[in-house]
Amino acid sequence: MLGGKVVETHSTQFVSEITVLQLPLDVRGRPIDGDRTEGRYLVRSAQFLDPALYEKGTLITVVGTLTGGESRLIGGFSYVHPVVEILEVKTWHGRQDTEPSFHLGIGVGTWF
Amino acid sequence: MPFGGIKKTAFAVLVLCSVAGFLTGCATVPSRQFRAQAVPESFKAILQDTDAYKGQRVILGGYVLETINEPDRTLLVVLQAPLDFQNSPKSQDLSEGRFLVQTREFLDPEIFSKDRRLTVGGTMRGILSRELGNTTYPYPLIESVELHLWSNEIHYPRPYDPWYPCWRCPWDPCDPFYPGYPWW
Repeated sequence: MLGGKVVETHSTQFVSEITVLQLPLDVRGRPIDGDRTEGRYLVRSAQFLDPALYEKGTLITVVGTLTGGESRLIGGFSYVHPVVEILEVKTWHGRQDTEPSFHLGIGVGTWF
Repeated sequence: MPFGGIKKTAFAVLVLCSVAGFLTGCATVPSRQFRAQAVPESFKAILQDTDAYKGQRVILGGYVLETINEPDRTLLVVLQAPLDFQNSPKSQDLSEGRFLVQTREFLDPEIFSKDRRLTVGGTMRGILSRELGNTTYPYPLIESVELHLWSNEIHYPRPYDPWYPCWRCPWDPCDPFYPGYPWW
């Protein structure tokens, strides 16, 4: 199970490929957005994945099979991306998926 | 000893405070060792005579303009900004120019994206001229030794607190239309 943020999505009718920036997962399997990445990987599916649903910046969690590595250029640097065939994928939109937020305050008062 | 208890409490508070101070005091950018070796020169002085600083260690900061990935190195084009007391770059409007950071590592352009703030401690390597629009710009080139990317904190809407941010200091601007509200 891997998580991350979508960098790029290429879809055709028969094969879809998402470039993902890896991110660590929290206890519930949701990627923690930030700078703590260990690299990039490719996610591939035989189904059509709509680029509008998997647009740049979307947080996703993927369960799949690691099938190998592929070299792609990032600028002039040839980066070996691990490739994952999708078994299941979940996108995380907005904040409704996160914990409820609450606020605790401590006050100091005085009399005048 | 009627004041023994109070003395004990005061001592405990003192210990707690110094521990807290110690913990926050350690988090310096760049590291203490590096700062001891670096020449405390202004960017202007470095620009005026870059060759004189060749091989010296300097600390600079600014805003990422572009990340260029090459087969054996990554170049960061940075818009210089002066550093504050924590060595964090101030407003980009105070910029005095640009510089380049070179590192042998691969830096992902998705992380080192435009407008991210960074502070770099590194070795001065001289001038590298690159095209900029229709002209060539002489970039001072720094080989990175320590690179710190400042976090882009995500500010979630906070619960309503009528005293925020005034509790810090009464002269803080409380007007929500103040340009820096509520971060400074």
